[in-house]
Amino acid sequence: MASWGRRSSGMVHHIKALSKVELRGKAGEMKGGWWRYPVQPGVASALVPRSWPCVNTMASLFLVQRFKSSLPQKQVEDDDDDQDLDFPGGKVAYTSEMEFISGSYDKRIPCYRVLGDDGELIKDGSDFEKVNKELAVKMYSDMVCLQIMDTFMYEAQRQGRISFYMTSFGEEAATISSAAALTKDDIILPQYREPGALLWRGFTLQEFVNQCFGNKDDGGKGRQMPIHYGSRKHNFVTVSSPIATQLPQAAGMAYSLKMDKKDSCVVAFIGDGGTSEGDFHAGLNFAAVMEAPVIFVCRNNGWAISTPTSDQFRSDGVVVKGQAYGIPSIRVDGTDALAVYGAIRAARSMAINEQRPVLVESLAYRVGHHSTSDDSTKYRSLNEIEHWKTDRDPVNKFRKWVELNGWWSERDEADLRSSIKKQLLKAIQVAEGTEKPPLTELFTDVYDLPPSNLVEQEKLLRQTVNKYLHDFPSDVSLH
Amino acid sequence: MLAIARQRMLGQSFKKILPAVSVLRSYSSAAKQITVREALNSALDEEMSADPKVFLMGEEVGEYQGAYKITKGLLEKYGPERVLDTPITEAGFTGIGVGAAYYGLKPVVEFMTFNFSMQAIDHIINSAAKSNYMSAGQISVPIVFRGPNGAAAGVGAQHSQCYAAWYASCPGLKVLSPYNSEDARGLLKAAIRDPDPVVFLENELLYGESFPVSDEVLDSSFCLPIGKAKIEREGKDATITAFSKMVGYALKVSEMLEKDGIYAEVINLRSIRPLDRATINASVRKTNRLITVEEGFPQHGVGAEICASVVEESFSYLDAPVERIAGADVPMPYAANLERMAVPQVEDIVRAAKRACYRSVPLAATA
Repeated sequence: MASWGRRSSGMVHHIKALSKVELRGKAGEMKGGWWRYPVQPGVASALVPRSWPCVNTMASLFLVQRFKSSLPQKQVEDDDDDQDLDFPGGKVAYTSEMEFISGSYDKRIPCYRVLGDDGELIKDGSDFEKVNKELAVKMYSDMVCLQIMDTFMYEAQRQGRISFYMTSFGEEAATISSAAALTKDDIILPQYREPGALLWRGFTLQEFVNQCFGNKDDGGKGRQMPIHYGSRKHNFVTVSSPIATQLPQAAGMAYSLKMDKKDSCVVAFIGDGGTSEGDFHAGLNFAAVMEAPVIFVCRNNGWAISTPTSDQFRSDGVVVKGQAYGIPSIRVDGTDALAVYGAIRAARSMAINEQRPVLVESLAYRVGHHSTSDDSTKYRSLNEIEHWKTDRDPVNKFRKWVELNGWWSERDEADLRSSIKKQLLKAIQVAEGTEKPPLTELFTDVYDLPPSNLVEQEKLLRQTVNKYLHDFPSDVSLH
Repeated sequence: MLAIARQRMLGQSFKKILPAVSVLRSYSSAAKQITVREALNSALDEEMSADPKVFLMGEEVGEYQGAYKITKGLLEKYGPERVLDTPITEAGFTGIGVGAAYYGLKPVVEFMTFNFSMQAIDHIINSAAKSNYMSAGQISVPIVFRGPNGAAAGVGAQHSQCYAAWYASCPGLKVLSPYNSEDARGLLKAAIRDPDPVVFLENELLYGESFPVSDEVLDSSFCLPIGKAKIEREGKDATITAFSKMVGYALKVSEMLEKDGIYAEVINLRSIRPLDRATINASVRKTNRLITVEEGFPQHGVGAEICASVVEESFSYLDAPVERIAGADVPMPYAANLERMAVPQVEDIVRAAKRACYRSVPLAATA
């Protein structure tokens, strides 16, 4: 129980060990299906059996899993005349046994977690990345804030006050913990369900709401539909609607960081559905070839609007796809704030120190509808939604853990919630009452410098509006 | 095999262009001649030397020295960090280039031909062109997309389309199309230095063409303004607008028309977006007749936009309807005789000019 106190980099080391072994093609010693791998110093090097009932480290499981499915033991034993095929790309051992790598999996890649559903640390769990009170309380507060903001803004859309909204219910930990594990110099390329990350970095409630209302105080100058946040100041690249386009962009950005030798990385988010896009292949493949420091975080929430993952891919989720590109990958419980925090910390360290991409698949069910244009009860059962909403809520889970540490109380909870609600209501009221962007902003930023035709057109438009004021809505500000 | 066929075709069109090259009156007195290929190569070299943020990406640009040898010698000079051979995914490397540009580098992305850019067009339009606007000026994209555009010779439908009109319709992009070596150098340098995304449409058949260039053009600081057309040849009876390879045709046409007493003014557009409406309109107000020439498909083409601009601004100056010469409204056929019928020929332009000048001509088949 007190193991959380011991600072450890066990997780990082395991992943590092895994990646080292994988990369250099060391098969280690294969004797009767046992696999030897290096563990953290001080612990006797363990022989991991092929059937591993009580091995509790992700790395070893993953390692054995991989070899199990591709049956390398057999290959080594049946090596054909000790000859290798010398082929572009590297030497490959021959075999006389015709063996197909199985397309299906007997055992799925397990999911890394730190907390149980009850919010308590897993008994006999391995060491995890420590989180102090200040960090934990900020993580928790931001998760609550996100939940409340989503609730209010969804309602606002329903009331017709904004045109569109997307909630992050069920995925609060996935995005906020990820952001918590990064530094402010790491560049985030979101898909569209990561306002949690932006919230963590200091984007205010007023700024969020202004964007949704598209008023003159919106940092985006009212150019984009709601939830398409962007802030250079917070190193959060503006949300772009086409799916997965941010993945090759992330590889490109990471390449630039690499050329500049910066101590930071790029983090690109994608959903389970987005992994079907061609850009997913291009982005991951390129990042691996260019050895770019980028973390690909796939928020597998089970649904791409109404398409379940069973219709999206037939692989063991997304985590196994990383290996196909030579990218170290991990599957993590996206509802577990500590697990996500630890995994991203480790991934970041790997990405920057080893200058390579990393793939993290976070499993966290999408509790809300895809967006305000969707009614998910049409394609999934109410029971399923309810189960994940109540029994598996990441915010409640983390709250329990924070409370267990004596860092949070009922009083704090009440104060926080009422404070956020008040701020939010005020923000919405202010945003709604704020003027829309002035006419000038229709014409700026098309190019670096305004082209002559737009300058002329703006002049003409102003003249027309002035002359026929009654034909134009009153919220077309000419200032 | 294709290369041999191509050379033969090149020989044919070379014959057509050569006389046009001899029309020196609009060029500054020049001693040196360089090919368009050399012009592009030297422009890339100088810009990469001047700005360490400039780098090249594309299929075969490095080790192979460029599919059309435009990037010859650059890998050797600048190394693999600045000349990147990419895997075959236009969508992929275009996205990567855009991402690098978001961060502040200045990529020059080569498409083996702009026909393949369609596989990346989402990144060009939605990730590059619109980003500055959508991000309210926070994300600028100083990227250049370059490569051969339009019909080559004997390469069929999927290798011959002209994309000038497609890209030029999108706000946020700048679209340039050089004709001769001076254009190639000046416009490519301008494109690389420009903070906005630029689509740079070259022409495969012009790569090997030599044009005279002055010392000013050869200077490393040489740059042409974006958005300014060039009057290649002055005239008083009709205005012919063209870009890229068709400029050569237009110059040949103007020579032929002179024999019939028609003095045509030839405008090399250079910049498709922004279109130099001022120069075009000023010319039409002088000559009162307009013939637009392009290789691309007629509907919603560059000529259509020029026509609209002239009708809007200089309607009362027109003495005859605008004549639009464009490629045939069919996917480009392969067979040499059919291909010849599918692209504008000098004779088509001559007939159109004569029609505009009320000369009686046998009715040509019109689209």
